Amino acid sequence: MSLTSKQIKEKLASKGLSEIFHRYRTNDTVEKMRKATISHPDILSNHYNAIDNHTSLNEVFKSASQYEIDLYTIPFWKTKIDEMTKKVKDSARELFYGNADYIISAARMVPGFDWKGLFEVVAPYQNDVNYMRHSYSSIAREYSKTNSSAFKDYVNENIFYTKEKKPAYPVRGLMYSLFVKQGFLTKKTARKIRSDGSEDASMSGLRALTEDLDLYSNSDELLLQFTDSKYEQVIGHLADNLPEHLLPSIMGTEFYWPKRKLEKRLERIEREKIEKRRLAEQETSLFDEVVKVVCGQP
Amino acid sequence: MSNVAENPTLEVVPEEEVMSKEDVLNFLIATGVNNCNRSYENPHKEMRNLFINMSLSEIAPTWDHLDDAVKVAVINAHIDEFKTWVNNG
Repeated sequence: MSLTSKQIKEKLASKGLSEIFHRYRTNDTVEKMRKATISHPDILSNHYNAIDNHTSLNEVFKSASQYEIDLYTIPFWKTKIDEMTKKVKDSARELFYGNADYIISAARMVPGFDWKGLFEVVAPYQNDVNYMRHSYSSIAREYSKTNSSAFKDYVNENIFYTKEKKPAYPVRGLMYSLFVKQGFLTKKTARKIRSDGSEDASMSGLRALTEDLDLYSNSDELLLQFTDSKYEQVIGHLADNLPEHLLPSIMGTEFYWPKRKLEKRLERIEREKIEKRRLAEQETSLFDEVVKVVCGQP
Repeated sequence: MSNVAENPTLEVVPEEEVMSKEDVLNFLIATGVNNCNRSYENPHKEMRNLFINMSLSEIAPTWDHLDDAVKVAVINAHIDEFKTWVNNG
């Protein structure tokens, strides 16, 4: 091999670059070099091939986040980020399995990024599996926040009102939760969540509702849709979280633990009422004493 | 009264060292050679040999970041130059 010294150095620099962005090679010097390299796009532009793979790019974006470097403000990286967020189809599988998380980080850096495309690319991988991938939930969350009307249509068409097979229960649970947190829940969709074939999915929807009750002016009506649920977890959650005036709606439950929870909650409410009454009486008698002293009465 | 006098707990934070493009490149080259030196793959061995046989003036800027084994290999590859330099010195 006959190479000029410039070519030898270029090749070795590429090798060095791939080394410092290797997943398992981190120490203080490497960290320092990572930061320096990310900030020198003129070096990267000549050796980008050395890190143009999922593992290295994951490390690049991890370091950028660690050092609070907004790559999108660096013109070199802006071009790369725009490219990588447009070509997501090629990396869909890797993205879903968590091997290309940098694409999510990159998308977060793009102002006004449309998450719909990314979501549609990973959804087919997630829809039929009974475990939730972090990549899917992150993308779905961003999608629901940034393009809520499209997200609402997606959930309505693919889960609530579909005639075809629904996605697996972890997807339904997440979709219910995000749907509720966007304030889209209606009496009808609440009823559908209550009737879901999965206890976990039903619980996710209810939990989101109890966490974000303020979003709904008809919260009582929505909560009452769940009170005849066939799931023990759901009734137990209601026993802990229903407003006091709605507690009678689950008093007839036959589930053992929710019943105990309900009893304890009612006892606690009663205790608090007695305590409040006692304090009020103490305040009144103290006030009477003060009045007597001020007026000089014996 | 100065701010430092008002706040005796304030510490002087050393200014962060900014690395030049050359420094970064030299570090990357040295990292590349060090890695090739530890590798059993032929192309890597070849790159390592090409590097240690480059002129000393080309190698010098990367010296501080080279592994000891690579430094020894460089000295062995340029032993005549070193001998001449020592004898003239």
